[in-house]
Amino acid sequence: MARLVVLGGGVAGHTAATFAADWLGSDHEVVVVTPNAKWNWIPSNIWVGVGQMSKEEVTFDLDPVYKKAGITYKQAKAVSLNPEGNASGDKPFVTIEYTGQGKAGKSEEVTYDYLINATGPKLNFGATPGLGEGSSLGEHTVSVCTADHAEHASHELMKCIEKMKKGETQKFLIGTGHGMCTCQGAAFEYIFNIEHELKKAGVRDMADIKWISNEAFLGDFGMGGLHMKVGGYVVSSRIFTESLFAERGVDYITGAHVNKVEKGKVSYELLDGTMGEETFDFSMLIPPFAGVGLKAYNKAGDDITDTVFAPNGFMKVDANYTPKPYEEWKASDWPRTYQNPTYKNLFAAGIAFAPPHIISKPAKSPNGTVINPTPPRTGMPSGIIGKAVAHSVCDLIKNGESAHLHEASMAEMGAACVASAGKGWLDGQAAAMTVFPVVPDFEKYPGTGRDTDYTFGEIGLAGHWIKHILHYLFMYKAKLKPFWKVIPE
Amino acid sequence: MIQPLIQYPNPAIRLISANVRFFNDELTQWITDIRDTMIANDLDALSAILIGIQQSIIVIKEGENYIPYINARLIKHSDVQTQTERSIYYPGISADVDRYDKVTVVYEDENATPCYRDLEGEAARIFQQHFDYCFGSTFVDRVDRDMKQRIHDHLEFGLVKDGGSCPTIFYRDYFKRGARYLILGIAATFLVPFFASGQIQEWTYLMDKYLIVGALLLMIGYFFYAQYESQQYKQCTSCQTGNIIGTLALLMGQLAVVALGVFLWVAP
Repeated sequence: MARLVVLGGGVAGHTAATFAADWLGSDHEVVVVTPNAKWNWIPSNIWVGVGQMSKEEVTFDLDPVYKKAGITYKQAKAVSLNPEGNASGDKPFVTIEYTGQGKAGKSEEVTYDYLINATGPKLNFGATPGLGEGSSLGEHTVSVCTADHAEHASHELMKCIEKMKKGETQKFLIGTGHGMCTCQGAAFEYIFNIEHELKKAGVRDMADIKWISNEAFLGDFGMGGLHMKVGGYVVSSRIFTESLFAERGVDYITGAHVNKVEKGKVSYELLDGTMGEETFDFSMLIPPFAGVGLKAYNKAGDDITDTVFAPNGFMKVDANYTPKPYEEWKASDWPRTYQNPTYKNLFAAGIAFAPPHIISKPAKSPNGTVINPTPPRTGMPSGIIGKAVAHSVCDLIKNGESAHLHEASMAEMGAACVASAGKGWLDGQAAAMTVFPVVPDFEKYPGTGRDTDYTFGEIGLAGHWIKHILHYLFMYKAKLKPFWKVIPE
Repeated sequence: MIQPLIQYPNPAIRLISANVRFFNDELTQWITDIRDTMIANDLDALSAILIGIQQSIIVIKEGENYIPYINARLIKHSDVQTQTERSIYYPGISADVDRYDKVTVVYEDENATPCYRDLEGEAARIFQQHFDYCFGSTFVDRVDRDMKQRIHDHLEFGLVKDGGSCPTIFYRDYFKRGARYLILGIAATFLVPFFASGQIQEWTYLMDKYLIVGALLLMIGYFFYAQYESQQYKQCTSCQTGNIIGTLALLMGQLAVVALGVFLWVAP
């Protein structure tokens, strides 16, 4: 009997664990280690953040679901890895510290035969002075990264709406809180959901809404831009988002590295090296992501964190990490199997794997500040990678070490980004933007590295419905209700 | 070398330009071609895509100099102004377009050195116009819907659709269409009992039964082919699956209705 330990219960970890448990049956054990008691469908948090959904609607308790699936669930956070075991044994193990289940604070060593690291990111609020401390949100801004944050954001938003109803104007500043953030899509959705809610509340004219982000152009989304179809025309996401911003009366700042947050004010540096300031009454700034800070030790107890993890804390996998200039980037640099090169029984999925380089064109200000989005690896790619990795591990367990590993390269994956621009069954709006492949393949598609023939969807109510249906579909799938397996990632 | 200008209705205008990655002789040649074409056509600015090169290069004439803006990005903007604009791509058409009067541009020169420039007035407008060409767009995307429609009506072939084929057209739709025609055919035979009876009605009934089986087979074919086709693309399989199931349910419903009709009405 083999034991697979999955660290993290987000999109990647939950997908990997549930599929692995199903494929392995009761012959082998699947253990999930996650510090959270609830599963959260993160893309819907933006709706919680505007008070259109409750926290309960986007989360559910993991315990009963894992019981049903026959998964051992440990509500704990992983602290360190010993991929070679330690002095008292050869069996690799992970040290965890409980956060619940009545054992909070207690440590335990969990041995494993295979381990999937799907810890997701550490929300690195501490990277920007004033945005927060370490991984906790500061007092000046709000966030929609977790369901709790989103609920807090919606309360703050309601306070602003009340003030506006009393005749006080409010300034909203939404975007990214650092030069190296990803997940611009979430902030993009949030700004337009706020705009939509303010309109519904009849206070839109009292609000000044502004976007601030590290993208070199509006609509970059960390992927160097996407494209979409509007009324039969292929339109670049830059043109589309700029017209959406103009149409909704939202101004924007791009190419900005927010370097300080104070009460009611952010300071930032632009790509041209100039500095600026922006005031706000309400601000949602996405923090940069970092690895969760897992340590690794060898048999002798020496720190081998640098061997297993990249400097940013994400796990090294089968990618080509040789630093090279932008013009030499290749699709083949990107990982295919997500297996750690040193320890073959370690895998990473979702945000937890270290990407070889970014996707957008790298950019630096004359002062040397790096201002470019880091690669998004959330949502659909996360799910697909989680499933592929689970497949590989199951084959390794069942067929031995010579088993063929399953592949899911982001250079062969498309992404559809259904971005909500306002919730409502009759007046909701969403934009569907696509890109194929996520990581440009300059050899296959000379020039942009992308297949621009590949488009899908338009802005409008139908887009919103898809987004809303996806919410129910994925909540249903994650709860492992009947036929969950036929719902794609 | 002077190159022919891309003009309406050439669909290449819809291509999104790639970032220049190699600063080599080829790039120098492109810049020379753009400059030569500008001189020949007496232009103040030109995007590479307008001579068919899908690369993010804009050359702007300043005095006697031709300055290349490579991989340009627009960083700061202020003061929106409305002015009548013409486009090299749509000769003979002009429209009022909102543009920023002051912009800050970051770009690379021909040696890949990052540069920063503040542009104002006409220079800012010209830059924004050509920056849009780099993103597969013309001023038509910057005007309101009414104006867009007026331009569309004015143009001989209407506005330019996308540059390439795109898989919003799926082959599975042939199955769907086939099944629809058969269902329609069956529905048409509902008229038969009004005019004929006996042998003809029996033949019609027999034919309908074959048509029902045929439509059913087409639907099964649709389902499996659609599944196969949707797997060709590794994206948005959820939406496609939803679409396939929805389409199939609709077809099934239609077939069930006509089949009921056949057995209750057409059957002798």
